[in-house]
Parts: sequence; structure tokens; C-alpha cells
Amino acid sequence: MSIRKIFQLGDSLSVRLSLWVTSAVAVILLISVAATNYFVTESILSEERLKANGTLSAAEQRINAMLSNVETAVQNHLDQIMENLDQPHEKLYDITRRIVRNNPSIVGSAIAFEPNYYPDQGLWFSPYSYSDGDSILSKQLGTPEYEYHDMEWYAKPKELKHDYWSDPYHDTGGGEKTMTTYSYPLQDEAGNVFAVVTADVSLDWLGNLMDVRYYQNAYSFILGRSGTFITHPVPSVILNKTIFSYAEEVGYDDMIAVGHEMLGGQRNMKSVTSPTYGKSFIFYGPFPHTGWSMALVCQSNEFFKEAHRTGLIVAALIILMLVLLIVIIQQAVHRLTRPLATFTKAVDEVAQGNLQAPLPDIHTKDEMQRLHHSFSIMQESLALQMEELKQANESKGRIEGELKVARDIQMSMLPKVYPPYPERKDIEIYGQLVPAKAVGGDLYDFFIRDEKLFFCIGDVSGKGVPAALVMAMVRSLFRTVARHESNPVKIIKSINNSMCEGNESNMFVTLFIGALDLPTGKLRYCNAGHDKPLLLGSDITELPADPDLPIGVFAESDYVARESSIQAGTLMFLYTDGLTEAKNSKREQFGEQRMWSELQKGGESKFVIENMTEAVRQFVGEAPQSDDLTMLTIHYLSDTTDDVFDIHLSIKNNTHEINRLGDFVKEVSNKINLDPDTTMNVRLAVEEAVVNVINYAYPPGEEGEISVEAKSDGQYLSFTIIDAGFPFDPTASADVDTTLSAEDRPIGGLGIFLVRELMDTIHYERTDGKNVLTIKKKIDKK
Amino acid sequence: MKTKIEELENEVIVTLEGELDSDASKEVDDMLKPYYINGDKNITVDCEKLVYIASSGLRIMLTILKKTKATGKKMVLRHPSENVKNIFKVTGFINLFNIE
Repeated sequence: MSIRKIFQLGDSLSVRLSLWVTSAVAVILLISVAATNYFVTESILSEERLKANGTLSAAEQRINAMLSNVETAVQNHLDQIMENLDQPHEKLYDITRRIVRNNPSIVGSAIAFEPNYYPDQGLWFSPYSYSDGDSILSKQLGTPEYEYHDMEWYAKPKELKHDYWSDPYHDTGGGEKTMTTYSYPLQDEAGNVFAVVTADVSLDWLGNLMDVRYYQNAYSFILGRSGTFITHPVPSVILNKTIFSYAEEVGYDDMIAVGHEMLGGQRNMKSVTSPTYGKSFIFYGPFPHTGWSMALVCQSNEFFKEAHRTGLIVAALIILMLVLLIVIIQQAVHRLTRPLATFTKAVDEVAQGNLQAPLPDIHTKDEMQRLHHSFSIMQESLALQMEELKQANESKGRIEGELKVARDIQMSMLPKVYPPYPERKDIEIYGQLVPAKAVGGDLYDFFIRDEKLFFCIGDVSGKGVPAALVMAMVRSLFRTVARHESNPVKIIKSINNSMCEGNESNMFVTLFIGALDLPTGKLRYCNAGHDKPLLLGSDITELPADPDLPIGVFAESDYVARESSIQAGTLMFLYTDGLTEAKNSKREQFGEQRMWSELQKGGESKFVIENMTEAVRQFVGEAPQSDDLTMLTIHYLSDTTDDVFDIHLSIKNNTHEINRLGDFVKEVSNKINLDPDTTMNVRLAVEEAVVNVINYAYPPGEEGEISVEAKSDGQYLSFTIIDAGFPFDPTASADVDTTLSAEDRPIGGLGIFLVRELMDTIHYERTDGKNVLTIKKKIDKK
Repeated sequence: MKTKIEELENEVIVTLEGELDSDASKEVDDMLKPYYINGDKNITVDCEKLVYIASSGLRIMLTILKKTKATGKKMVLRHPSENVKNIFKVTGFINLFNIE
């Protein structure tokens, strides 16, 4: 596990923060401890060195004091010796006895002479006294077995002419003791040494000389001039081994270097590793007086025992502190971040949709307060935006709902009951509009007035609601204008002028308007920029209708009046460019060629459109519909019924002729057994139509002929009134408002109104310079 | 077409009999004009025997109605036949006239 992972272990901020801080503090403490340890070690060592030096000095002083006593004791007797040389036996023994007796530290004393100093005393005159514990005994030291002249204690001071301390040695005579001997050479006036005065001193007290009891495992030793152990805790090595031989024996390599330095008289401290003792420090220093060197050896861990104990306590305290630190930080962070828990709860509630979730009370002026501030702003802003969103959604829903209503309204403007004229045998019509968007800009319409079929098809520029509004307007204008105007050119001009008024959005409409006279098959039409209709008869032809300007472009535009005769059995096919420009996913257009080949299949009006729609659907496939698709078919059929009778009346334009007309109607009525009420209504209608001609067709005073023909096919009774007067279309006259009050009602205008009301159809044509008005009444066969 | 005019103190009673067509209406109008032209008399038109009326006849009726109304006098149509009543309905005259 990496450190990073450890520090990310804690999920909570408090755990992470306390881990970080504690780690940092721990590192700092570790560095401090390491530095402290170093300085403490140095200081301990320095102190120990002082202490060791003190011990060494104390021991040196004690040895010096001891040796000085011995030297002084010897030297104090020198004068007596010199004065009593002439009484060797009497006095000299006495002197040695006194030296021993007066100095408890001196265990033996001798005055050893040169060979034959006293000729009578032989080679080895040497009075000697020694302590035997309780008493002091005397004897002659030199014997043939103890030839002392070559011994160190004698030869060396004699050679140096200087007092001399011998190397320590074993005294095998009076018990196992380590001894040393102080020798003082006696010189004659010529400077020749003639005797040596000695004092034997036991060195057993040296072993206890150095008090190192303040260490459990410390010990000391003293080396003689040659490196021999004078004292040592191991008795067997004393005087038997040198430091070098001993070191080699036990494999104490470090000690060899120490031995050399000690013999060289140096004062020092060294760190050594003993095979039995472990890591130790050795302090050593010389005794210049005797040429000895002494050493203190201490186990290093004893030095640092206290330091180590203190270190352990400090470490324990540090760990305790760190644990405490973790707890404190966790508590502190927990306390400081307590509002965060409330914030978290509030955010959860906000996520659930409760924007009014309560926020914690913050009294501190820190980040928490700023967070509180930001959070409450967020709450307010969220609530505001939610409200706006809600309103936007509501208005969007409203717009969608309104678009649906708009489409319903638009579709309701189109003729939608098919067949529209089930009782008529002369016409079959089918129309269809498939809008590209919810509401479209195409339109078609048709209605029959006065035996004329008025129809139109158009395409408003653009799509959607604006186009639909224009479409609705054009359709209403068409209905309104064509109600009293039978001339397509005039209808188009009227719509165009209305459209151009305040057409600020510059929308325009291609529009084809036709008026098919059903009795004659005469088609009057006008094309304002629309696709030419096709005529499907024995073959397929275009209706000659080169387009003029679309409506809505220029007011007062000129439009060409066109006329064509439609043969019975012909099917007119009208469409908008949504058909020919329908695109498939490859952006190819359906095109006129496909349209023509589909039209080749023929069929009646509904089939033609359904077949074409299916062909377009298959061609387009999955591609979205790009434009409104609108088609209108008008199938003009021949009226094949035969007339039952056909009679004729000719009268002058004089109201006195009216009586003849009444008789004529009665005659006709009798022929078909018409009931009296209907007869009277028909008579009134015919009379009004004829009176209209009498009053208006010819100039006053001019005589003119009026021809009245009566026909019946068994279904309808029809009268055709023909005159050669001024062109006058009575069907174009305004309706009478029957709801006006007596004061407001005009006196005239009732004639044509009555004709319309009393008959079933009225039809006017100007043919061959004559006004031809046909009115029909359906016969109720009883 | 027969037209009978009966003048009382405050009222003129006109009785129409036969067919009031466009030809007859001019003659009838000429006869009635003196009685309605000033509009100072209540006029009752008895239609019981009137079998036919053309628009010219309707115009005479409307003119009489307008005249009498203008002076606050009354005009009453009495006993019109179903045929005539029907014509009055078609033209909306039925709502204008006081018919008994």
C-alpha cells in the first residue's frame, strides 16, 4: 500500500487532516530526537571523560603520595646510614628495622652493598629487615642463591646513579604478593655507587585504588613499563601477561593499539569492542613518576543507560502526544465542520426537490459563513430558475396545444366530406392535403354556386403558422369573393388587392382559380403563378395556363382570363409543387416524369390521388416530408338523362305579358302533376326572373324578345330564360338581409332573392351574345 | 284581380282578391296610394282571398307599412292564405307585419 493510499484511507476530512498533521509533527520530533540524542551522547561522553580523568588523577595522586612517603622514609634514613657505615652490623640492621617499623606500607628494607665493600663481610653484605605480619625480622639478603648485584632493583639505580622504582614483581618469599621496590643509590665522594638502599612496597592496595563502583561492569587495570599487567580484575594475568599477549590471546584487537598508546605515555579515550565485554570505552593516562599507565574500561551502554531510559520515556511521551494530537485534531475538525453535515443534509434535500431545506446557523465569520451565503443564493436562484422553467414548460405546452388547435382549424377549412356532392351525376371531386409541419401553407377549396363549380388550389410561400394564417386568409377571401363573383380573373384580382394591403411580411401565394360551368363544361380560369393543372382524358395534356404573377406581389397586377371547354369524362388533376419536389433520402425529387407515369394508370378521382400518395410515400421512404403535399381531382361527367318534355314560350318585354307567363307555368305544372303550392312558388320564381329581364335587359321603350323554355328530365323542372339585352348576371346580385327592420328594409331587390329561395338551382351564362338564365326545381314525385 | 276599399272613420280596410302579379300590382298601387300616401290612417289589408303575390305586391305592402309606421298609425294584414304567408316567411316580412 502506497503512502498516498494510506493518506486517502480516511474518508473523513478529520481523519485525513489529523494523519497529515501528526505525520508532520512526528517527522519534526524525530529530527529533534535524533539531534538531541547526538548532543546528549556527546555531552555524556565528555562528562565521562572528565569523570574518568578525575578517577585517574585521584589514583595517580594516591599512588604518588604513597610512593613519596616511601621515598621520603628512605631518604630520611640516608644520613644515619652514611654516619653509621663504620658499624655495619650494629647500626645498619637497626636502620632497616626502623624503616620497616616506622612505615607500615614498607614491608621490607635492605641496604645492599657492592661486593667486598666490607672485605670482612664477603661479596653480598646486605642487611635486610622485613615484616612478618606481627614482628620484624632481619637477615642477610644476599646469598650465593640470591646474587642481587645483577638484579634490576640494584643494577638499574647503580647505572642511573638515581633513585629508581623497580617493575612490580611477584614476591614468592613471604606469600603471593605483588611488590615493587624503591632503590636509592649511595655514592661516595667520587660519585661511585657503593650501596643501594631499598624499600619493598606491597602493591596489593593498587587493585582497590581506583573506585569505579559507580559503574556496574567497569574495571581498571595498570600496566607496568613493559606492558605487563600490574593490576587487573583477572588475577592470573597480573605480572604474567602483557597487554599485548593478553589481547592476542583473547582476540581483543582494539586493545593492542590502546596498549601502544598507553606505553607511549598518552592520555586518551577510545571506543573499543571487547570479545567478552562488548562495546566499551577505555580511558587511560600515564603515571610519569613510575612509568606506569593506568586505564578504566566501561561498557558503553552503562554510560547511556540513563540516557536510554530518558529516551524511552521521551519516546513514550511523544507517542502519547501524537495520539493526543490526532484526537484533538479530529475533535477540532469535527467541531469546525459540523455545519458541513447540515449542508450535506440540505443538499440531499435540495436534490430531492425541497428547495427550502433549512441551512445550519453559522455564527462564525469564516469560510462556513461564505458557504452559507453562497448556498442560500444557490437555493434562491434554483427556486427562481425552477419557476421560470415551469413557466417556460407551461407556455411551451400551451403553444403545442395551440398549434394542434391551429391544425384542427386549418384542416376544418378544407372540404372533408367525400364525395362532396353524392346526388350529382355530373361531377366527382376528391382532395387531399398532407401538411409538412403541424400546420401548412397549402390550400384547396371548391364549392358549387348557381351550377358553377368554383375551385382553387394554392401554395403559400413558407410553412408553419405564418403560412397557415395566410392560407386561411386566402381561402376566406376566395369563398367571400366567389360568392358573388363568377369571373376567376376578378376573384384573383380582388384577393390580390386584399393580400397586397399591408403585406409587410412579403408573403405570396401561387393560386389557381377555376370556375367550371357544369351544364356546359365551359371552364373559366386564371393562374397566379401556380403549376398548370393536367387534363386526363383519352390522353394526358396540360391545361394551357402560363402562370401570371403570384398574388401578394404587386397590387393591380394584370391577370389573363382564360377559357377552355372541358369534355365530359375528363379528369382534372391539380397539385402543388410538394408533389413534384418531394425528396427521398438521396435528395432526389419525385419529379414530373414519375407523376405523369402514375397518372397513366387513370382511374376515378379518389383512386388517382390515393395511388399518387402511395407512389410518393414509396419514393420518399424514410426521408422527412419537406413540403405540404396537396392534390385535387375534378372528374367532369356527362349528364345523360333525357328530357321528358321541352316546351317553349316567347314573350315581349312588357309586364302585360306576365299573364301569359303564368298560364305557361300552369300548363307545364299540369304536365307533371305539380302540387298547387309548388306550382305557385315556381310561377313566382319564373315571373320574378322574367320581370327582371323586362325591367333591365333592354333600354326603356325598346322592344325585345324574351324566350322561356321549360324542360324536365323527370327529376328536375327547369326554366331557361333567354334574352338578347345587356349582359347582366342576376346571380351576382347581393343577398337580401331579411333580418332588417321595416324602416331599414329597401323596397327593391326582392326579385332575384325570391328566385334563389324558391328554386333549387340558378345558373347564368352569357352565350352567343345572349343572357341565358336557367333555374331548376327538384320535382317531388308523389 | 279585384280590389275593394272601405273607408271608415279612423281606418281603411282594403280587400284583395285573386292574383297580385307584376302586371296587376301597378293598378293596385295606384288605387291604394291616396289612402296610404299621407300615412294618416290605420290600414287593414284583408288577404283572405289573395292567392298569389309577386315581389311587386310585396313592395306595395312594405311601402304602406313604412308610411303608417312613420306617423304612428297601424297596418294589419288579415287572414293571409298559406301560400302568401309562406312568401312572407321567405322574405322575412312575417316579422315586420302585424298579421291577424
